[in-house]
Parts: sequence; C-alpha cells; structure tokens
Amino acid sequence: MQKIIQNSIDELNKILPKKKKIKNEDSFLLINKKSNLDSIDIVNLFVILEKYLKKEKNLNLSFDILLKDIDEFKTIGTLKSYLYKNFKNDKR
Amino acid sequence: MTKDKVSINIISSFNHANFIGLLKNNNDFKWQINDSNYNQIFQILNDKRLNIFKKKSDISLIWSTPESISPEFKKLLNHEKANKNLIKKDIDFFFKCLKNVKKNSDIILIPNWILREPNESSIALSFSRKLGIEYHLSYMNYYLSELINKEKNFYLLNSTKWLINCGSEVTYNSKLWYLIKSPFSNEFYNEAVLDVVSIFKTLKGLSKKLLVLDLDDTLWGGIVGEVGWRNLRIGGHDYLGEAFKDFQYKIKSLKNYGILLALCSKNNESTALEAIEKHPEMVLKLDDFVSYKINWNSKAENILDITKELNIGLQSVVFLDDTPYERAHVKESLPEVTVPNLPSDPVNYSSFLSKLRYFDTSFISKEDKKRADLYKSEFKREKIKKNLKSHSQWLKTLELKITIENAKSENLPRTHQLLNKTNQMNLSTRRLSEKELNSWTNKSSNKLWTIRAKDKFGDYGIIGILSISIKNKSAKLEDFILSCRVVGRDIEKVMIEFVKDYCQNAKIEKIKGKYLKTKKNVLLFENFNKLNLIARNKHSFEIIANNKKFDLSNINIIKKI
Repeated sequence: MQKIIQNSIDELNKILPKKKKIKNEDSFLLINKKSNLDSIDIVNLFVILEKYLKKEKNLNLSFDILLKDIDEFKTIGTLKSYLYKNFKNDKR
Repeated sequence: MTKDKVSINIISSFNHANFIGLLKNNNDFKWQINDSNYNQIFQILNDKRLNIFKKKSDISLIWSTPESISPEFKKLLNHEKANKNLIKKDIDFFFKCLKNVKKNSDIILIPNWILREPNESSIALSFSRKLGIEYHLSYMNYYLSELINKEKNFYLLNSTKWLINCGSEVTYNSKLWYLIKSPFSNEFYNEAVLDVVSIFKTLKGLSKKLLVLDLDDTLWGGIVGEVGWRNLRIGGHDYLGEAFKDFQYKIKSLKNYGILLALCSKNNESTALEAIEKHPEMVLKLDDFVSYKINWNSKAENILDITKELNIGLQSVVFLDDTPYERAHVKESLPEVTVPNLPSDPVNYSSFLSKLRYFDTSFISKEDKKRADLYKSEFKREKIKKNLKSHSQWLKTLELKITIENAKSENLPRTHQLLNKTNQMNLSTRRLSEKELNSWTNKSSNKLWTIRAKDKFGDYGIIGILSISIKNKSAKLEDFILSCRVVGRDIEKVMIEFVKDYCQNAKIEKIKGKYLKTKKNVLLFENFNKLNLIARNKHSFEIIANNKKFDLSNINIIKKI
C-alpha cells in the first residue's frame, strides 16, 4: 500500500507546480481550508490512486464512496488510514 | 543554468489543466502559459480584445475534439447521417478562425483530431460513407492537413501517435472526463508535451546533429573480435539478425534527414572495418559515417575527438551503446551528450529509435541531404592544409568560389534554416519565422544576400547570410551568419568587403552594427575582431566603407545582385 500511495503522489506531483507539490507526510493537508490543493488536484489524486489500486492490487475504489467519506481525506495521514482500514488485507 | 523562456497560448475545447501542469514541469524551457477558458474555441479565436491577441507568443496550441469543430460530424456520434460537404464547410470556418492567431504567434500547433472516447459501436459501419465515424474523421484530418500545408507556420501534431504509444486503455479516462471535462490521461498529455517541446526545439534549430554508435551488439549481434565477421547476426533467416538490419535501415534514414553518423567502438580497427566492408547484410556502409574511432581508448575521449573533428558542440550529440557501463561512463564524463538507455532486447532497437524525439526536422534542405559528404570533403581539405605552409597557399589550392546573390524565394527555406539554426557564427541570433523573414526581405529599405561557396572538393551550398537595413544614408548590419563549417576560409572577409562595396556604391556613408553576445556565438566575436571593425563600445561597432581592403585574390567572387 505504501508503494501505491507513493506512486500516486509522485504521479500527481508531475502535474503540480512547485508550491503545491505533495509530500508523503502524514500531516500534509489535502482536503482542508488551508490546503494548497484545489478540486481538480483532489480529483486527479483520487483518479491516480484508483488506477494504482486496480493495477497493483486489483482493488476497486469507488469515487462515490470516496465522496461520501470526504472528511476522511483531510491529510495524507488520514487518507492512508482510510485506505488501510478499507483494504484490511494489505499490511502497512 | 537559466532556461530559455517560451511563451505559449493554449486554446482548447476541453479542460487542459493537466496538460499545462505537465508542460510547466518540463525542464527544457521556462514555459510562460497564456491560458484561456476551455470549450470556447471559436469565441476566443474571434475576440481580438483577448490577451492572446495583445502580445506575440512563440507558440499557439489549438487543441479541439472533432465534434467541437463540426456540428455535422457530431451527428455521426449519434448514428445520424452526416453530409461531408457540410463537414468541409465547418473545417473551412475553423481554419479561417485559426488564421486570426497567425500574426500573434511564431508557430501554430494543432493536434490532429481523434475521438474523445473510444468508438467501438459498429465495426461494419466504421468506414461507411454515410455513417462511418472513422471515414469522416479520416477525411477531416486529411482536409485539415491539406489546408495547413498551405500555411508556413502551421503544424499538425500527430495525436494519433500519442494514442498508439499509450494504448486506448491508458489514453482515455472517462472519470476525468465526467468529473473535470478532461478526456485524456496524463500519460497521453505527456506524449503531447514531449512533441510540443520537440517541435519547438526543431524549429529553433536545437535538434541533435550527430549520432554516435557502438558496433558490437548495437549495430550487429555478437562481438566481432570473438566470433568473426561471418558469424555476426545481421539480416538472414534470423529474427535477431533481422532486428539489427532494421535498426540499421532506421539509422540510414536519419542520415537522409541530414543527421551525421559516427562510430565509436572498442575493437581492433581492422577487424571492425573488415566486418563493415565485407558482411553482405550490412545496410550501413563505411561511407555513411563521417568519422569513426575504433580503438581501445575511453569512449568519452573518442566522442570528444569526433566532435572536435567535426566542429560540433557536445550538446548536439546522441550516443547509442548496448553496454550500461559505457553509457554511464559517457554520461558522467560528457554530461552534455544525450545518452538514452537502449532497450536490453535488440528486437526493440528500431522502434526505440523511432520514438526518440531528438532528430526531428521541419524541412530537409539539399544541404541536409548531402551533409555527410560535405563533412568528408572537409577532411580532404584539412589534409591538404596540414601539408601546406601558409593559409593563403591553402586557400589558393582549394580554388574557392563564392557567389553572393540577392535573396530568392527558392532559397527562402534554406535561408530561414540558417537564420534559425546557426548559433556560433551569428551576429544577432535573431530568429524569424519564414513569413517574418519574407516580409522583412520584401521591404525596400532592407537588403538580404545569400552566400554560396564551392571549391574543387565540392559544393557547400548556401553557407551564409548577410543583411542590412538602410535608413537616412546609414546602414545597419542586421545579420552576419556563416556556417561554422567554412569559418577561417576568408569568407567572412569577402562578406565584409561586399557590404563595404555595396554601401559605397549606394552612397551610404555609415555602416553600423550591434553585438548581441549569447552563450553560443563566441566564435563570431573571435572572428569579427579580425575584420578591421571599429568598436564603438562594448555592444556596437562601425564599418568604415573606404577602409583598406582585404586581399582576396585567392578567391573567385561572383556577385549576382
């Protein structure tokens, strides 16, 4: 799972400007008023995550579910927890 | 290192934010992006109050989906019949609007039309005249390319190739389309970015000029020193042999583009040369290479020697070698040389070379086609030079003939190429599009001449440009451009004397010029100092028309003005 998260961050960083680049740190803000990311960046992050989950683990991530649980994506740390919780079979 | 700034207008029928993100992160240039709202192509192209019409940019990229340009085509997507004539009219209107950005951009790039999502609805109807989506899409692209071919600064980008490179599964992303109206994936946009960068480099004369190649397991299968030339794998009824042969064909086609080829191999020279000359399946002949270094020295050292011999900058070199160690060594020793990682399986060499974007070209001149021969003649000249005592004696032996003639329309592509590609012997390094060059030349107060050279070893073709602008009995030297291949042959003196003569005859009293030093035109300044110019200050100089003339009696000068 770590690899999937890192690959997703790396891919998103390829389209983000310097100031917005995501760091793989638990406290890094994603969906938050103080976050530098806009809605397109978040959509991109989810689409990329979905791609890697499918490719690496054959897991499906539904966008609708993600939207329902949007509060869980305040930071990289909460995103990681969400993914581990929902894909329990995968060890950290 | 500071990167050159490139300004680009982007107008598209879909959300291109991800494309912009990738372009901005491209390290080749510092991109200044003038973005516009998406899905308003016609409104934007017809509203001259907008920012894109206020300032001139280097590039305008106009990227649309076929249905956004042609409502008639859109009918086909709903399985309704479409009228090809109406589609043609839609494209005519689009093209008319495209022409509005012509004045504001040096280059206009238009990706060819592909569908916004894969179309697999009806196999039988794909190419039907009435309902075929592919039939009409092919027609649209064909017709647009016909229109674009009539315009000098318009280029159609091959987005079908991006789709093929990525594959349909990766290219299309329905989620991105429904969420942010961006139909394509980042992998696809990345292909587009690479092509935009590549075509810009090509048009600015920054593409690579020399391909240096290893031999064993690069041009042929096997190590010639161990297996002997008869057992090398090239051609024949052998899948790997065929792959090496195809790779050689591809390399040969680059030579026809004007790319110089050289060999750099760790081998006994006689063994390797015997293989090249005797193996019946060799596509590349010794004659195809402008230089070869076959010895046991370090490859970096050999590449450096080749570039010195050819007077080519390291930044213009690509090195292909199958051995990771050799690649790493050259990368480390000569960081300016481009060293791509050749695939580990030779069956992929040929397609790998096709995908490299280093050798792109927008125009192939007569000079490009015979460039390798020109370099070979140069070696003969240098050989004579070594055996003669004086420079003037050498010039006399060459029987050099210089023709100076007024700019002609048939010479415009080559003139444009020299203007935009010459870095080292270029006074102002001003870069103009073909259209701008044409309109500049057509002004009666501007004069532009081309310089052609020939000697007993061969015809160099057009190797220089000289131009002045005249105002109030005063001339300004605008362009003084000479191919670095012929520097040191007194042609620069011929050019200065010609300007002096022309101005004296035209009763022009003053000839002034400005230095514009760049990182690359040091050679110009070294040679300019030998031309009896009067330096006014650090940045400007004056040519005195009635100054003492240079002795050019060893050169046959023909003026066609």
